Amino acid sequence: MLDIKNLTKVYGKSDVKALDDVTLKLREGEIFGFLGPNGAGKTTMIKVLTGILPFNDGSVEICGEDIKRNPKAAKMNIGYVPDSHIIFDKLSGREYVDFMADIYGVGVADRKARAEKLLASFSLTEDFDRPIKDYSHGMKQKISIIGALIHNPKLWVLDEPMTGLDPQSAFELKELMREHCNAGNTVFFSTHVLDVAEKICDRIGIIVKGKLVMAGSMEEIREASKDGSLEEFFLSVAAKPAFEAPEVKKSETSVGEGRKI
Amino acid sequence: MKSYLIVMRMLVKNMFKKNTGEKKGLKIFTGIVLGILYISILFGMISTIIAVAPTVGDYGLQSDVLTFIFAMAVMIILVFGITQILTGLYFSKDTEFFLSLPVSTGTVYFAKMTVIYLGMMAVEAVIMIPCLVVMGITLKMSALFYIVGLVAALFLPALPLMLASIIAMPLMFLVSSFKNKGAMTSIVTLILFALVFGAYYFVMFRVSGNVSNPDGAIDFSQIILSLKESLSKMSDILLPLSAIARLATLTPVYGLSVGMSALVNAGIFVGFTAVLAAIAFGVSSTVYKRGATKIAEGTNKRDAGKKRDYKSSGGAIKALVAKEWRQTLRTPAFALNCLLFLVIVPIIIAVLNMTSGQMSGETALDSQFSYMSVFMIMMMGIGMNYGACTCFTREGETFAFSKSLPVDFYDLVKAKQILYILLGYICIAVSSVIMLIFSRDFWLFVISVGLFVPYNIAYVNFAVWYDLSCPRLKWTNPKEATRRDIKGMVPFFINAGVSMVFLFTTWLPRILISTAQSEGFPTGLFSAIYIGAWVVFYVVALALAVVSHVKLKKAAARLCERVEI
Repeated sequence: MLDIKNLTKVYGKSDVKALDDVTLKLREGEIFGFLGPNGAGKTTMIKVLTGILPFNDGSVEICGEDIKRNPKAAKMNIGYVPDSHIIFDKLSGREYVDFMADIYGVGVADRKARAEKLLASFSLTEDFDRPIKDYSHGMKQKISIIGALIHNPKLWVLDEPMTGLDPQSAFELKELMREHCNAGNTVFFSTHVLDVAEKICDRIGIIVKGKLVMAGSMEEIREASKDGSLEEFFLSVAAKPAFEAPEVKKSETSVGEGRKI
Repeated sequence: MKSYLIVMRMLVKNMFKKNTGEKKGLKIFTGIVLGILYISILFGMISTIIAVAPTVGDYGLQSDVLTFIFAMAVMIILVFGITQILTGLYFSKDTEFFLSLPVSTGTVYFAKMTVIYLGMMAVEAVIMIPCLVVMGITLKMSALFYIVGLVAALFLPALPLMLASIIAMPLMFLVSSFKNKGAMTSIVTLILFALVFGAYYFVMFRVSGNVSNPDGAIDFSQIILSLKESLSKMSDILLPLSAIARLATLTPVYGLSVGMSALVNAGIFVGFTAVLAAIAFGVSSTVYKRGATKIAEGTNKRDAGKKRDYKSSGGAIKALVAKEWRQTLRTPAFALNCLLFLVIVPIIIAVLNMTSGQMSGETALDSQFSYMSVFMIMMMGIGMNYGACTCFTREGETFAFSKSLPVDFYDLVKAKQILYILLGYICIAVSSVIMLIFSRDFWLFVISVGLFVPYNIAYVNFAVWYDLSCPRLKWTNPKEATRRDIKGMVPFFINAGVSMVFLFTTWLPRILISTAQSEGFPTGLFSAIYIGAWVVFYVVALALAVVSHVKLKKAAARLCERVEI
């Protein structure tokens, strides 16, 4: 599904590596949580794998399509929810979703079915024809999610998706993520909310100063942690240089069993 | 092609969609102001065309004048086009969004260029088409004139926009290499405006030439001959524009027949456009791809390791002033609207004085043109202080943050007052010194600056109060808070009216004094009116400065409180 090999990213002429030789493989049907302190490289990673940022070395393949060589085909498999709001806010929710569906070539019947289901989940049906600029922060996030899912992407990428969502909507989003992955797709999201990561992720990756210091299942993390919690493990990893991070078995692919929220 | 149409349609929808939730009264008001603005521009241009039509016909200047009209349109589109390309194409907020979509950057480039083109064409066509129709009727042009004129009006923006996209490329790379891209874009845009306006006025200055007789009187036949020569030179330089103008007016060229000339002219225009299009689209779409990714990368991360010292502004008010200044300078749409007067007004004053000196020689016109400078400083140097007129609107929804700060509401207002009064003074000082250098009228310099000191305070206070009384905070695109906020033009129009009154009550008596002196009539009455007018303006300006300050101070808390975000 997502195959990242020896990915290195340097901004401009800086001598600091924003991403340093990152290798990661995600398969169908898993939710992967991407953690790290502020400025560790989470958003850079997401922007590289969605084709927004170029990179210096390595490769990124999405469903077998190389993002550098064949960006259009690779991006057709991605649904991306950025951490910032939708810019085209004079459009109504419906116009925005129609635009996304047109771009990804989704037929009218399919877009209607998917949009109505998602709108109902997020209780956004009544506001669908209002201009996005009149939406609240959470509503903008919701319409962005609906736009990203309108083509039923194989890889769903979310940057800090829980920010601004009310508890009900956050719960709905987690359900959606699980549902999406149970349908054989993959979810890759960054977050600072460790509880969320702990509850829904099949695997977790932690990035510190551009290096992927670990990528493993929750069980593997619990084994490596002193008190068995993700929080303790994260704090111990994030606070130390990469080479001092606790040993954890780095599983390349371990698909979850459909964890309950 | 399908993706291109989808992206373009969405951009057009987002650009031209009306703001919902806007009050009906405000909509009507905006419509009226826009209507008045449009009619007055059109009236000015049409009456000029009607006035010069007989001379143009007598001297056979049809194609040259048409070239001149096209050149003016091209120049305006070029300047605004470069700005639009920089802000709407390269430094647009949507760059990342489009990069994440399965659409090629070339498609996005073409879609965005089309939208910019449509916007430019719409504005240009509504002004140019009526002018061409009037010109055609007054000069009794053939049917071809109307057809070619219409085609030219629709396709003319293509030429400057392609040129603009080529010029914008190095500018984009220059700007993106700086940490603060917003401020750099603003500075580059202001320099561009200064260069183009400077060049325009310089050409006008050269065109006017030395047209006075030895006795100092203006020789109008000399002006026309000089103008004809200059227009002819300009037509030779602006070949693609003069080709389309010559085609429209069926002017023979290179000793060819009218039919062959028409073919040659059409070929020149199409050829130029095709070559420019090949360069612009071939190079620009590739550069856009590189530029867009470069911009998405940003440069801030490169400087992440740099350590800077803490700096204290020295108090809350100073911190608020610094914030206001930085926000204005670093947002190109704000800078263009709020700081442009600092560049434009001194240029206008300089060229006005240079041109008037050239035209008038050593005649009494000198002092009259100095008066025109004083009028321009009052109308534009003070009135175009657009930052004051939109100071709260530009805060947008972040005004909620400002309201949450532990400062008095009046301090929020005071910070804006200080900044815009200072900016007004800078413009007044620079423009007045330029006027003094050229006119050497020290007395006029002293009394006008003395008047502008309190008047500038009164104007800024009024503009700030007016904006605070009904700010339009609900916007996301900075352009909505400035260029599209017609309400912000109200103080400008009021000031323009006051400036006209000032001009006629002070300038007219002065002319009458000169005339009376030369004719040997008594000047007492005119002198009394002249002095009286100045005294009245001084008293009113001082009173307004004091009253507006006191009123604004009293109303600040109440007005800030009632603003709901």
